[in-house]
Amino acid sequence: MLDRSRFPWVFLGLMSLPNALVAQAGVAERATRALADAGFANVAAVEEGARVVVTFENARFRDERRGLREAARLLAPEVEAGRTLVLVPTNRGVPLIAARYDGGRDADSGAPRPTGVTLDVSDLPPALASAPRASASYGRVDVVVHPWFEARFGDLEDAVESRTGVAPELRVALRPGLAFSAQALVTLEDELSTGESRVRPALVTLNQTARLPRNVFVSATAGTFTPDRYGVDLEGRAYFRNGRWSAGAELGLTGETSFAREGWSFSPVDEPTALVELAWRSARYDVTVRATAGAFLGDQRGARLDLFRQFGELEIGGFGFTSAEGSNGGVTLRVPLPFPRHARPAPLRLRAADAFPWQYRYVGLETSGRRYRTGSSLDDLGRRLTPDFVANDPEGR
Amino acid sequence: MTTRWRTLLSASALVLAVARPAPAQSLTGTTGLVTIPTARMADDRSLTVGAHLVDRRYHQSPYGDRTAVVEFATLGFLPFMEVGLRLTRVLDTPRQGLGDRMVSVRLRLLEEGPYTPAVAAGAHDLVGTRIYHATYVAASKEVAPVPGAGTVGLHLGYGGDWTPLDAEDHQFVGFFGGVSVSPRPWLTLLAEHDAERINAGVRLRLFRRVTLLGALQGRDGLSGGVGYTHPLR
Repeated sequence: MLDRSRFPWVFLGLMSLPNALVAQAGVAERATRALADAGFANVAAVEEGARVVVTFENARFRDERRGLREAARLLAPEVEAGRTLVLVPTNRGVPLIAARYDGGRDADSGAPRPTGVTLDVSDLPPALASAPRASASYGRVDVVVHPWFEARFGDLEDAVESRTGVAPELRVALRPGLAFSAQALVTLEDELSTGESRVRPALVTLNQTARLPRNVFVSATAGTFTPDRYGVDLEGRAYFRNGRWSAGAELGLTGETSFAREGWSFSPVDEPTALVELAWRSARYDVTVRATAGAFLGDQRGARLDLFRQFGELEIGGFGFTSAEGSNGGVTLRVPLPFPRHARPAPLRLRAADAFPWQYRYVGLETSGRRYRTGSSLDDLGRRLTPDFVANDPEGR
Repeated sequence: MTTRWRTLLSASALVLAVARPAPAQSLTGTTGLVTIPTARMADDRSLTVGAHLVDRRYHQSPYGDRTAVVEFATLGFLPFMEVGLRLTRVLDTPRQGLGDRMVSVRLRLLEEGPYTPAVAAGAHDLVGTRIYHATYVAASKEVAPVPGAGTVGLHLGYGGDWTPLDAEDHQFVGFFGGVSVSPRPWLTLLAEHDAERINAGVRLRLFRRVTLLGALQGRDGLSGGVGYTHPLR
């Protein structure tokens, strides 16, 4: 027999259902709007049960960890509503890590504190990949200005001979993982007497980066590389133990190129390079040890060992290289440039580079372990967002 | 004077009396006394840069016999590892390029305990001309509070020619050691024997990050300089 006493409750339940649906859709919408309004790019959010998963690209802050903290702070009210927030920062459209927030806060700063950070993004909602992106970065042009400095030490009469300039780079993301980059070198002062043009093209590349299952990243680049190379480069890297171990390989086929007043000149693309690497990262100290071996430019077979530590955004390290032709060593630096926040994304935006990388070689002439730079290495992709590095953030603990 | 103020003053005096003086760089740029290295290490994640003027009789640079300037950067790379870079240039002397470049690496083998000293091993100037080549082991023990003296540091080391590398010269060969007395955290008196001569010095720490060092090397060499320590995140 029908129980009519239940009808009011059923009726009220049915009346509240549209509101619940609106609230569910509103959470993802609110999260997307909050990050897009703050200047993050490629923002999408999906609510799945009690979990809100938000993907975004940090286009505002020099420090990737700060970008993550800001996103967490903006979305903290959603966590406080009893939900679990999962942030998935991306770079070049490639998801890097998943940082989970369950409502914990840092005792000193009150900032949201991640309860877990993982390299594994395999359990993200399938709808996230196809969700429309707010503040999509594709087609936007960034003009990134890099400082450029080369020096030669040791001349008895002139201790420091240097060449300084700027290297503006035009960078356009075309689609997830696909980017075009064109860079010029503008020499402001040249004591090295290289005879090169004051303004000359440098990196002109098309790069496709992708993330495969099992924490494998791959990258393919074609174009002109620095210094004075052109051709194709393929790179792959697999991460293990949540980013504490990685193994990679890089294959290249390049030739020499140069640009003078008469224009470009090219040698045949017939010089292969093949390198393998193994790296270990200390979770406690933010120290990375990396061994690289194989065929460098000039068909030189050798091995290089790098040891560097991340002191926040500053990296300091050293390296040693050995081959049949001799040995070398030196210091590596990566110094953050003094612009901690970039302008809001726009169809055309001018901004400074995030950091200035520099290497000092004890033996000046680079005859050992020569490599080219594509400007899109997998090393740059997520070095500042490895899970342990995020977990060690003193402002996010 | 109220009880509260008396308590505050007493506590402050106690803190000032027993607060451990921070490690600081010797004339050579490594953490130590006047010239000798000790087992104390630069604080983890600290970067110290500075410059010292070294008396012409004691800098050992082959580029000249005038006063030399030693520019250094010392990094607490890890809690147990200190790395230093140093340039030594003789003033008013042409044709020496950058000067002598030296890299030093020091490792703490044993942390200081209530009854045991800290022990460290170090190697200086492993590549290049090796004018300042040194390999050694050092031990340091600090005692505090010592009535009237504050914190007293006892430092002893032994060095030798332990590498197969050819070197133009060696430093700290044999026993070396010294004493540091810090009646205040910002003031340290230094006395040492560097395996060749006796040296003495005074070190002042200002504003927690600036260190001034004044030294008498041998009995006739005046040296000294300044260093600045910055904590890295």
